[in-house]
Amino acid sequence: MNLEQILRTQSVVVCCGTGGVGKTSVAAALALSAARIGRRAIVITIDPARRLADAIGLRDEIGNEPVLVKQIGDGQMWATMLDVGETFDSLVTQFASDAEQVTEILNNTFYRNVSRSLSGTRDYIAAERLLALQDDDRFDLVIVDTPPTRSALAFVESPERLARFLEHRLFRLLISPTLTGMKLMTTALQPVVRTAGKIVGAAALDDAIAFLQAFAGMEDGFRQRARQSATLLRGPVTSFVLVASARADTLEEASYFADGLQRNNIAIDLVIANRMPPRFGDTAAEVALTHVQDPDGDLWRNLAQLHSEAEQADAQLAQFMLGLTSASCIRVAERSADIIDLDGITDLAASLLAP
Amino acid sequence: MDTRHFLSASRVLIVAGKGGVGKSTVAAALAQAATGVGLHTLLVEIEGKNPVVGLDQRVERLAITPGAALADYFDSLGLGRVSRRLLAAGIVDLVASTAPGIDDLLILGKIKQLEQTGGWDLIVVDGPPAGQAIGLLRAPLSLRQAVRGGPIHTQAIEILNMLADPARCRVMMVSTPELTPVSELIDTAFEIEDQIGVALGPVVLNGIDDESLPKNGNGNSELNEALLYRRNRQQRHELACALLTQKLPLQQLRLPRLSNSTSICLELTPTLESAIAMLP
Repeated sequence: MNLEQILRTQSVVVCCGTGGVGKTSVAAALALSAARIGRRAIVITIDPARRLADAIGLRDEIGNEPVLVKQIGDGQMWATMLDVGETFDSLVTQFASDAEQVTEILNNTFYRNVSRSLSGTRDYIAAERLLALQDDDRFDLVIVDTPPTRSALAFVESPERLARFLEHRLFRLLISPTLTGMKLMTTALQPVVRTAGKIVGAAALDDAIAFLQAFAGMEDGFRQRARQSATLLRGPVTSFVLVASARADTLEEASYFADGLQRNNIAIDLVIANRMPPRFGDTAAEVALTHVQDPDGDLWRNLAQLHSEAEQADAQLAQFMLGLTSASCIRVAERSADIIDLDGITDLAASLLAP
Repeated sequence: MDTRHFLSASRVLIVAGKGGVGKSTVAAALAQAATGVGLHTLLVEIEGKNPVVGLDQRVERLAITPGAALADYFDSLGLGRVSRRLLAAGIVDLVASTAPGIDDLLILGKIKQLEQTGGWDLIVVDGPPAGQAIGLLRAPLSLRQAVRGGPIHTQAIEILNMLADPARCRVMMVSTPELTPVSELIDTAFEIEDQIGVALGPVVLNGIDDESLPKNGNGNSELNEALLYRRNRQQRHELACALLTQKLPLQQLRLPRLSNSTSICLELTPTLESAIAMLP
């Protein structure tokens, strides 16, 4: 599938890749391009650089609320930031049986820490947010800028992992409403709980168990959502776009990531090779080098150096694409300035769809 | 500053930076330089990528994964046998998903343990490949708050002690000399200092284009455009360096742009050494 087909037909586009390759700008440019062909697209950015966030009208205080960035005919570009805590809270509110359960969970220390500050939560919540926006009638295309994590696959795997956890026999035992205090210690769980206590500490375990028991009754809701997210990510309406830049180290990480996706049975539809070193005419570096003794040799040397960078980048990208036979590739030349406003995004969008 | 003096200022040096800024190469070059001045050095890589090639054989290397660190941790609690049973029953998976951040804590815990053995003069940590340093470094703080007592709480406190002691641990941040990564680095630097209290070493600006260029073009449009492009790139680098100097009161190690060769680490080491020598 080429980019235009993706933008016209898909419901979800996941922009993945390592940090520092301009993924957030590319995700925003994709949303803008989709708006231009009449779709109502929303981009979810996770932790954007402040100036880029300003450029697309996102500020910290907006939280989860989508912002209409641009209306182009019938098409719309929306943007939203991921507010992990708020999204988690709204799930709790949605699945709790009554207001009392909501209060109990929202005030639990363990919950507040897990939902606010730890990295693994963000991956799952990003997937959840994706699902929520996909269900939202205001949008027909959701573009996700995946969170930067140690393991690039954490985002893709997170809903599955949560679902497995919620289905685990031990978890089900722990939240069983008849299990409290002393009774817990007399069950078959005793050795496990004792060991867990040694590992994480008894107080921590109490907090966690208090949380899990307050959670009882909501697990089905969470599990169904997690399963739905996992299905959506693997479904036919979702395309994965890998954003890379032509540097040896980033391409190496990109290959590692692509392999991981393949192990998860996810195909990459499109590679966007961002920030490719530009060329000036078609003189090969080798040829330019033969002119360095000329009167304007310094100018030739400069051309030779720049074209040598471009040639190396081309070779590395070609090598990388050999491993991704099903994906198409778009090359975007390095820009003369960082993208800091909507004009920059507009330019980037234009170069993505240029023939 | 003398390289040896510079590199022995703390026992642990965490090299942090976004993907694509050359963080791994800088970490390897630091380890190489330290070995070169006679420091017994360990280069720690945190999972998930191929190691940098072309490194001096004398640099010891270790790849840490959360799984292996967890097994070590169980062993240290005398739970080796139990841990294998737990692993088999899928309980480790369960614990890891209940308490996100545990993997970060395990990695930092392992680094702390290596530091405490005193087996090395310097431990250079090549930070997470795609993540941001802040998540890794914040984990012990979050877990100290999340977990009221017990081994995890103690572990978190011990790690925080190491992070807070500039003689034990410093963080060196790496960026390319472009405005966006530099502005992000500035924000992250303040967060790291304010929230976690880790000492920051000099910032590494990697890949500065400082080649001297001819003043004027000629009638050839190819050559002229190339010259204009190159000038513009150098101006951007200067602006980014100036922004960093203005906003962040840290010393800078400015490394020139190198050709994209495979032995880039070998090439980088001498330039790194001369940048260190330029520090007051």
